[in-house]
Amino acid sequence: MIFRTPHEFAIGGVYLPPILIAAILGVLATVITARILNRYGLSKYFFYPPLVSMSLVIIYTLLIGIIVIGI
Amino acid sequence: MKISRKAKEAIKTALAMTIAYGIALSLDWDRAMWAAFAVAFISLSTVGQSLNKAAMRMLGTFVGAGIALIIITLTAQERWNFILILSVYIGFCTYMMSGEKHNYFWHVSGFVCAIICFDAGPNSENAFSIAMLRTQETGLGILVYSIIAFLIWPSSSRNEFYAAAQKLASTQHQLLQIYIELLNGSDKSKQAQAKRLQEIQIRTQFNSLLDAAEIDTHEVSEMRQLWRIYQAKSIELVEKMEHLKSGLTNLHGLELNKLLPNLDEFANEINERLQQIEEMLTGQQIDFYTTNSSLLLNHDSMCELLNFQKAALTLTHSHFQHIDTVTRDLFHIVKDIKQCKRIKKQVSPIQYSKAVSVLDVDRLAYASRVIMIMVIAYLAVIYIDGIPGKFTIVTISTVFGMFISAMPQLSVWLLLMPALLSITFSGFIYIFLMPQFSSYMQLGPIIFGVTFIICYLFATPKQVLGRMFGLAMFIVITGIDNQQSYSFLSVANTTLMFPIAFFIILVTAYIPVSWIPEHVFRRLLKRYFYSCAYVLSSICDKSQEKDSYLINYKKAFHANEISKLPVKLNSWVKHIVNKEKSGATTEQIQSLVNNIETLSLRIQELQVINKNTHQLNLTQEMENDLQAWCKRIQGRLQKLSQEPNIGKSKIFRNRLDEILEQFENHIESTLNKINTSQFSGQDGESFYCLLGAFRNVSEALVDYISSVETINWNQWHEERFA
Repeated sequence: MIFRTPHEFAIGGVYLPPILIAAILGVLATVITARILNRYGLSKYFFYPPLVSMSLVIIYTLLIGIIVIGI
Repeated sequence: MKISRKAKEAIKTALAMTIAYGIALSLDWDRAMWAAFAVAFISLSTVGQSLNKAAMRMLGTFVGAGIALIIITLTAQERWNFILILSVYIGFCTYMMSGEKHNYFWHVSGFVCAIICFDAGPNSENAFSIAMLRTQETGLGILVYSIIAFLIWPSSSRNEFYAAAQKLASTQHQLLQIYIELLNGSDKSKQAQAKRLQEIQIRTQFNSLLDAAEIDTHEVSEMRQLWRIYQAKSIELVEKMEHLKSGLTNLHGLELNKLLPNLDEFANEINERLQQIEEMLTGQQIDFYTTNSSLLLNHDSMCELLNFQKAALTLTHSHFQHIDTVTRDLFHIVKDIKQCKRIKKQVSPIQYSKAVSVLDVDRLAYASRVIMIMVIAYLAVIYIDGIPGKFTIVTISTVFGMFISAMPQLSVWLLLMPALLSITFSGFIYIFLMPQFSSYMQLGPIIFGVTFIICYLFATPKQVLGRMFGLAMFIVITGIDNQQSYSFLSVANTTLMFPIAFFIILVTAYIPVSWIPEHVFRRLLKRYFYSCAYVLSSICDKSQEKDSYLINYKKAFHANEISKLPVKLNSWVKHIVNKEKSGATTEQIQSLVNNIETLSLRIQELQVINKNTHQLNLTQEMENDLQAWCKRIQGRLQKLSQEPNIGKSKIFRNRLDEILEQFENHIESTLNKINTSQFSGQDGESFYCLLGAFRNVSEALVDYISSVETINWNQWHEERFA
C-alpha cells in the first residue's frame, strides 16, 4: 500500500499499537459521518442508527487500518 | 481580614487532604490516595452534612469490603462465576442507590466491592490486606476531615436548617395564597408553576439539612421525631394543595361567595395560621391560638346547581377541609417543637402507605446497564491483548457506570471533557512539578495549593462535577506514594483508559435500548398510560372477590408507576431542548408534563374516593352509567399507551360534553324516581365526590390531548444518530 507507515506509533517514548490509532480515527470518522447524516435529515432512512454507528466504526477502523496505517 | 465562606471550606479540605496524605505516608501505608479520596468526597459545607456522608461512606466501605472478600473466597479460581456473582451484587447496589434512602451507602458499597474485587481478584493472596487497607485509609480520611471540620471554623447546619424550614413554610404559604387567588379567578397559573418548582427545590434542601442538623444541632436532634412528623405533614399539605388546584377549573362561573359563605374568613384563618407557623420558625414570640371554624356549604344555593357543579364544589370543599386539618397539625407540631414538648396528641396520624413494595422498572434498567458496562469491560480485558490499565479499566468503567446511572439524563460526552481537562492539569503537575521535590515538606504545599484551587474554583453545588473530576484526577494521576516513580507512560496509560471506559459507557447508551432523551420520554409516556389504563380497569371492576397476591402486587406496581412517572418525565424535560430535533420547545413539553401531573393527581383522587364509596347505595342505572364512563376513559388510556400522541382535543371535548349532558339528565331522572332521602347527607356527598373525580380525570385527559397537539411529533418518530 502507498500510504503505509511504520507499525508502532511513538509519542514521547510511549509506543501505541496501530490498531488503537486506527480505532480512534474510526470513531472520529463515524462521528463526522453521523453529524453529516443528521444535518441533512438522512438518519431517518436507517432502521437502527446505533447499530449503524457500530458497523461504521468497524468499517472505518478496518479501512483506515488496512489502507492508511497498515496493520 | 475577612475570609469568605468558600475560601474557608477550601482551606479545610486542602488541609485535611495534606494531613491525611502525610499520616498515610509516614505510616508507610500503601495507596495513600484512598485516604485522600475519602477527604475529597465527604467534604461538604456543614459539619452535619459531612459527618452524615462520612458515616455512609464508612459503612458502605465496611459492607463493600466484606462482600468483596466473600466473593473472592468463593470464586478465586473461577472467573465466570466471579463476574457473575460480582455483577449481581453491583446490580443490586445500583438498584438500591437510585432509591429514596441511604443512596450514598449503596453507591459506596457497590464501587468499593468492585475496586477490591478487581484489585485483588487476579491475585487473591492479597485480597484481605487490600480490603483492610481500603477500610483503614477511608477511616483515616474521614477521621482527619471530621477533626478539622470540628476544630477549624466549625459550621453547624443549625442556621441553614432553620432558614430552610422558614423558607419552606413561607413558600407553601405563598403557594396556597396563589391557589386561592386562582380560585377567585385571577390568572396566575405561571406564577403557581414557578412557585411549585421553588417549593420542590426548597423541600429537597430542607430534607438534606434535616439529616445534617440531626447530627450537629442538639436541639434538632432532641426534637427529631417531631421534625420528621413536620416533614411528612408538609409533604401532605402540598399534596392536598395540588388536589385543590387541580379541581379549580371546574368551578369557573360559580358564585362562590354565595355557595361557600365563609370562604374568605376560612381562607384568612388558614393564611394566618401559616403566617404564625412562619413566625414561630423565625423564632418570634406569638400568641398561640387556633379556632375550630369549618368551611360552610350553603345547601340551599347548591340545589340550584347542575349535578356536575355540585360535584366540583363538594370536592373543593373536601380539599379545603383536608388543608385545614393539615395546617392545624403543622401549627401544633411547630408549637410543640418551639416549646420543646414531645406530646403530639392533637396531631392526626400520618398515613403511612401499607402498599406492597414493588420493583421499579427504571431502577432495574439502570442496574442492568451498569452490569452490562462491567461485563463488556471485563470481556475486553480478557480477550484484547495489551489493553491499557488491564483490570483498572473495569473498575473505572463500573464506577463511572454507577455514577451515570444516578444521573441518566447526563450525556456521556459531557463527562469526557472535564475528565480530559483534569488529566491534562494533573499530568502537568505530575510531570513538571513533582520530580523537583525530595521530601513531603515540599510536596505538602503543592497538595494543599492544588486542592485549595480546585475547591475554591468549583465551590457551588452546580460545579460539583468539575470539583469531583478535578480532585479525583489529581489523586489518581499523581499516585503519591513513598516509592514515588515518574513516568510519562503512566499518565499516557491513564489518559487512554478514560476514552475506552467512556466508549463502553457510550455503547450502553444506545444498545440494547436508547437513552436519548426523546426516546426515553416517549417510552415513559407509554408506560405511564399503560399503568393509568390498568388502574382505571381496577376501578371499573366492581367484583367483590378477594384479590390474589399477584393482583394486589400489580395494583401496587401500577399505582407506584402513576405517582413516580410524572416526576421522572419532569427530570427529562430540560434535556429535550433542541427544537430542530424534537419539534417542540421546552415550555410546550413542560406544559405536557404538567398536564400529566394533574392527570396523576386526579386518578389517585378517583382511586381513593372510589375505595371510600365502595358501599355506596347507587341505583343500577347510575351504576351502569358510571361503569360505562369508566370503561370509556380506560379505552382511551389504552390507546394512548400504544401511541401517546394521538387524538384530537376538539373531538374529545365534544364527546366529554355529550357524556356530561347525558349523565346530568340521567341523574336528574333517577333522582326524580327514587326517594330523595336516600341521597342526602353523607351518601349524597360521597356520590358527588365520585362524580366530580370522574369528571376531573376526563377533563385532565382533554387537557393532555390539547397539549399533545401543540408538539410536532413526526420528528420524535424519526430515527437519528446521537
